[in-house]
Amino acid sequence: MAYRLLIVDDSPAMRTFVRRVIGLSGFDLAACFEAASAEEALDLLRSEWVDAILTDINMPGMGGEELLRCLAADEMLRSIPAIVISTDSTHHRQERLLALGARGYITKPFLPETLRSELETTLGETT
Amino acid sequence: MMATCLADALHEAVEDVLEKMFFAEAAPMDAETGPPEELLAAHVDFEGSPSGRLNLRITVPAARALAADFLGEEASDLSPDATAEVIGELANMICGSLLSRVESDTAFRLSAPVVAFETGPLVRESDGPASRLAALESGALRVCLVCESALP
Repeated sequence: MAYRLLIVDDSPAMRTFVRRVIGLSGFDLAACFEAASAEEALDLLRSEWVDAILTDINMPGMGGEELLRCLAADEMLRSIPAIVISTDSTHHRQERLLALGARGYITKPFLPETLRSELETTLGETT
Repeated sequence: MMATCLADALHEAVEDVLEKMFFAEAAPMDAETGPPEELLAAHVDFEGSPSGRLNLRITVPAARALAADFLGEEASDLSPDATAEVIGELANMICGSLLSRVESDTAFRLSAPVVAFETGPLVRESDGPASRLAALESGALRVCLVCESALP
């Protein structure tokens, strides 16, 4: 089964990298959307369905935490699993984001197979 | 924490980020001050316990090669802005990886990376003991950590 993903990160370089390693990992990708902010992600989700969201935390404006809150509060969007990708590997931050509704947490740096494994685990749980 | 432990953690963080995110290997180099070179310099400030700054300097050819590997593009096709953005991400990831090795239970707040082209020596006397110099295929990378307060 091929999946539709949304990458949310204010860094174009990081979005390109994540998209690239998803391809390198052999993950079955049907479509990959990108958003440069949480606001842009929420706009996009009004018109495009995705199977999972990969999001950064620290972004200008609405951050990843607020994005998770908005997803959880939205009846249509709350079922879309979100995986956080962050340089912050502290237990404190991971627990906080998982409590806010994140379904997975990937710490940078990561290997392509780690990203694939996290996606497959998360999507396996939801399908 | 002893400066040697911090230096070891910095060493591990640099190796880990280069290997996993840039598919690059770094070899150790003798840290000697050399002539001025064209560099990309980045820094990331962090707040927590401790607070401080991670400084990163990289020779421009090495920066372009790393950026090309990161983005999956040819180095000759990359703009200076794209190269600088990738080096900012490199500094950000090394800083995050280092801090998690030093204090995994403390929350840190990292600033956005600041990156600029400059001409100067890669290794400087002011770099301090928590520094790492790495030889890359197309140049060299210098990373230094400066803490405002003593580590617990």
